Amino acid sequence: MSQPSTGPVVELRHFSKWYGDVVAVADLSFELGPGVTGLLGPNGAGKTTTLKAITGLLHPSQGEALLFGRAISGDPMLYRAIGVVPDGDRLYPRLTVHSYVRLHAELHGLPKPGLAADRAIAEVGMEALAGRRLKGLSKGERQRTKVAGAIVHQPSLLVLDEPMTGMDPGQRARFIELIRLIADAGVTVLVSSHILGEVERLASQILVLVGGRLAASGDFHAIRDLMDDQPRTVVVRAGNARALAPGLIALPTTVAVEVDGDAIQARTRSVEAFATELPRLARAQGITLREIRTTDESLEQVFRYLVGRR
Amino acid sequence: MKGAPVVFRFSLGQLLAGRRLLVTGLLTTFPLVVPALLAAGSGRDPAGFTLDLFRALVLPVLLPVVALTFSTTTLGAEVRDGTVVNLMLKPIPRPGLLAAKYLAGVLATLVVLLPALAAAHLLAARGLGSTTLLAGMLAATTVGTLTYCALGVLLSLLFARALLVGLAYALLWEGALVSVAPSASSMSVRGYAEGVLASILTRSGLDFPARLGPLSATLLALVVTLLALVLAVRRLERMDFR
Amino acid sequence: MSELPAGAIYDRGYRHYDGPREGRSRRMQAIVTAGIRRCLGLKRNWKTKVVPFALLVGAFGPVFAFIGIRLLVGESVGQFLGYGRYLGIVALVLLLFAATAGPELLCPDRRQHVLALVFTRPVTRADYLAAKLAALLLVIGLVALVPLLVLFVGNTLTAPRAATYLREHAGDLGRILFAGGVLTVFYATVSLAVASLTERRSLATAGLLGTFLASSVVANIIFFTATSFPGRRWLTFLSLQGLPARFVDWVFGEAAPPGSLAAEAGFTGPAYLAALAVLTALALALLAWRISRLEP
Repeated sequence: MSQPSTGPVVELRHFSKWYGDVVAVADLSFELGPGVTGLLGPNGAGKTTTLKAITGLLHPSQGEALLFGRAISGDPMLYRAIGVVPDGDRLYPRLTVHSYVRLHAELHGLPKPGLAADRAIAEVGMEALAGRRLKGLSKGERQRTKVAGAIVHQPSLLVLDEPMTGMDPGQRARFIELIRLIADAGVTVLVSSHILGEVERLASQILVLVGGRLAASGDFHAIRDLMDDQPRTVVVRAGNARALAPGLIALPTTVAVEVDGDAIQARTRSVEAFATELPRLARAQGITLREIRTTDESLEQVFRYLVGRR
Repeated sequence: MKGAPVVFRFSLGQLLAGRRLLVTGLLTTFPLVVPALLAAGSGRDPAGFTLDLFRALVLPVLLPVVALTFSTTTLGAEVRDGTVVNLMLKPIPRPGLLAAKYLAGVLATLVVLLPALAAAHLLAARGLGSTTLLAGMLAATTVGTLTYCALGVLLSLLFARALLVGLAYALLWEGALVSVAPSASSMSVRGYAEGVLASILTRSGLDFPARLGPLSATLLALVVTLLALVLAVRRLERMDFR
Repeated sequence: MSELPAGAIYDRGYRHYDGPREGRSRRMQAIVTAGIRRCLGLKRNWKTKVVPFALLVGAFGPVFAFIGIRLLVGESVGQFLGYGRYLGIVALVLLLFAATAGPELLCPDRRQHVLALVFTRPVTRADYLAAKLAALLLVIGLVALVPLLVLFVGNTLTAPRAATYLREHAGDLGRILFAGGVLTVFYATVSLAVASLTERRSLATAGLLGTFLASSVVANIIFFTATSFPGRRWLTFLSLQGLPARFVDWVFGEAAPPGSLAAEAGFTGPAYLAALAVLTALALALLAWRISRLEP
C-alpha cells in the first residue's frame, strides 16, 4: 500500500487528553518518519493514551492526531494503511490462528484472504501452530498472532503497544528480529515500551513521555549528548596512564579520575574538552594512547535522567 | 463496504455458536410447542388459543428477552471484552459496521423465534390453520424484533448493564403501561407489534383489540428503530474505546 | 554539637508475616462482606448503585409512605393492604432483585478469572458456596423481610396503645418472619443456581426472569386451554412466580384470586410450601454440583 502523501507519517499537534480532572497527556506535539521509533515512558506516562489517539481509538480533548496528513476519526479508510497491535488480550478465544488472521484479511477486503493469512502467519513464524485455537497458545504465540493480523494487509505504518509484555527473553529476541525485518521492508514502526533494553536494540529514534508530557525526542545518543550537566564516563588505556592523570584532573570540567594499571576511568562534564586536552597531554609526555571510549551511553542513563529531572 | 458483510457473518456466528443456538432454541420452543400440543387435543379453537399464547407469552416475555439478549450482546460484549477494536481498526464505515451488528442480532432472534412460533401454530391447528393468523404473528414478531434490537444495540453502547435496562423497560414499563395507561401505547414496542397484528387480523374475523392503528404502529416502529440506530452510530463514532 | 548516635542498619526488606492469622470464619466473613458490597453497589461508583437502590426504593417506598400517612392522618387509615398483599405487590421487585444480585455474586468471579486467587487461600468450595449464599440471603432478606418488619413496627408505634397492639398482633410478626424467610431462601438458592450455569451476568439474569415469567404464563395458558387434560390441576406448580405467591396467601390467610389457576387447582398452602422446598433442594443440588466443578 503506498502512502497517500509525502510528509510525516504520524503527526501530533498539541494533543491533549483529559478525563475529568485527570490529565493523561498534555500538549504533545511530534512528527514521526520512517524507521522504528520507540515510545518510552514509565507506567502511567500516557503511552497507551497517545497510541490510542494515533490509531483513532480515542478522541483528543484538544489538538489533533494526523496520519498521512489526515485526521483519523471520521476517516476509517485510513486503516487500509495502518496495522495495530493493541495492548491486552482482545483475541477471540475459539478461533484458530489461521481463522483469526484470515478474519483480519477479510475485514480489510483483501481479494485472497486465505493466502494473505498464510503469508502473514509465515512471516511471524507461526506456520506450525496455524491450526491451533487461540485459547491454548502461550503469550508470545498470541502476540505474534496479533502481529500477523496487523500486517496481513501490508500496511505502511505499524503501531505496537507494549508488545513484549509477558514474553520470556528468547521470545523477546525473536520478536525484535521480526520487527526489524518488518521495518527493513519499509514499514514505519512505532513501538511503545517501558523496557529500555528492548527499545535500545530496536529503535533508532525515541520519544520519551513522562507524566503526560514529552520529555525528549530524537536519537538517543544525541539526547545523551544534550544532557551536559551529567558527567560522562570515559575510559582511556595508555602506555603510562598514571602520568596522564594529573593533567586530566587539572581540567575544570573533569569531575573524577581513577587509575587502575594501564587504564584511566575519568568522569567529565565535557567530553569535548576532555577529548581536546587528552591528545595534547599524551603528545607532550610522549605517551601512546591505545583506547578511548565513553561507556555510559545506555538508554537507561538517559531515561533515569529524564524521569528524575522533574 | 467490503468489510461490513464479513462483520455480519462473523457476528451471527458468534451469537449462535456452540450450544447457544441449541439452548436458546430449546428454551424458546419448549414453552410454545408443549402448550400447543396439549391444546390440539383439547378441542379449543386453535386460532383463539394461538392468539392467546402469542399475546400472553411471546409478545410480553419471549420476544423482548430473546431480542434484547442477542442485540445487547452482539456489540456490547465485544466492547466490554475489548475485542471490538479488531473491528474498529479496519476500513469499514461506521454506519455499515453498526448495521452489520444490528442485522446479526435481528437475524439470530428471528432464527430462534419464528420457527418456534410457526411450529406452535401448526401443531395447535393440526395443519395449516388460519394462514392470516400465522402471517400476522410472524409479521408482528418481525416488527417487534427490528425495534427491540435497535434499542438493544443503542443501550449496549450506553450502559454496562444494557440487558438489564432493556428488560426493565420491556417487562416493567411496557407491562405496567398495559394495565395503567392504555393511551401511552405509542411508547411501547409491544404496542407497535400488537398494532401490526391487529391490522392483519381485521379481515379474518379474529378479535384482537389493539390501541394503535396499523399506520401509526408501523410508522412509530420505523421511527423508533431508525432513531435508535442513528444515535447508536453517533455514539460509536464518538466514543473512546478502552 | 551533640554526639552522633551509634549507627544502625535496619533490615527493611521483605518480611514474612508472623502475626496472628484469623481463622476460617473470618475468611468466610470476608467473602460475605464483599458479596454484600457488590450486590448493593456500596463503595463503588454511582452507576453500580442505580439498580439495587432503585429496587430498594421500590420495596421500601410504599412502607415509609404508608407510615407517614398514618402518622399524619391517624388510625382511621386502617391497616395497610396487609402484609400478604404487600408481599404480592413487591414480588416483582423481589424477583428482579434476586435475578440481578445472584449473578452479580457468582458470575464476575468466573468471568474475571479471580477464582484462582480465591482458591489459593484455604477456602474450600463448600465454604465459598456457603459464604456466597449467606451474602445473598442477607441481601434478599433486606427486601423480603425488612420492609415488612418496618411496617409492623410502624403499625405498632402508631397504634393507640402499642403494647396491646403488639400482644394482639404477635402472630403477624411470626407470620412475617416465616413467609419472608421462606421466600428469601427460595429466591436466593434458585438465583445462585442459575447464576452458576454461566459466566455472563446478563444471561443469568435474562434466564431467570424469562423462566419465572414464562413458566407462569405457560401454566396458565395450558390450564385454561387443555380442559380435558388429566391432572391439569398440577399445572399450578409449574408457575414459578405463583408458588411463592400462593404460599404467602396461605400464611396470611388470604385466598387465591377467584377463577385463577390456583383457585381452580385447589391445593392447600402446605402443598406450595412443599413445592418451594423441593425446588430449593434441587437448586441447592445443582449449585453444589456446579461449584464443585469450578475450575480456578
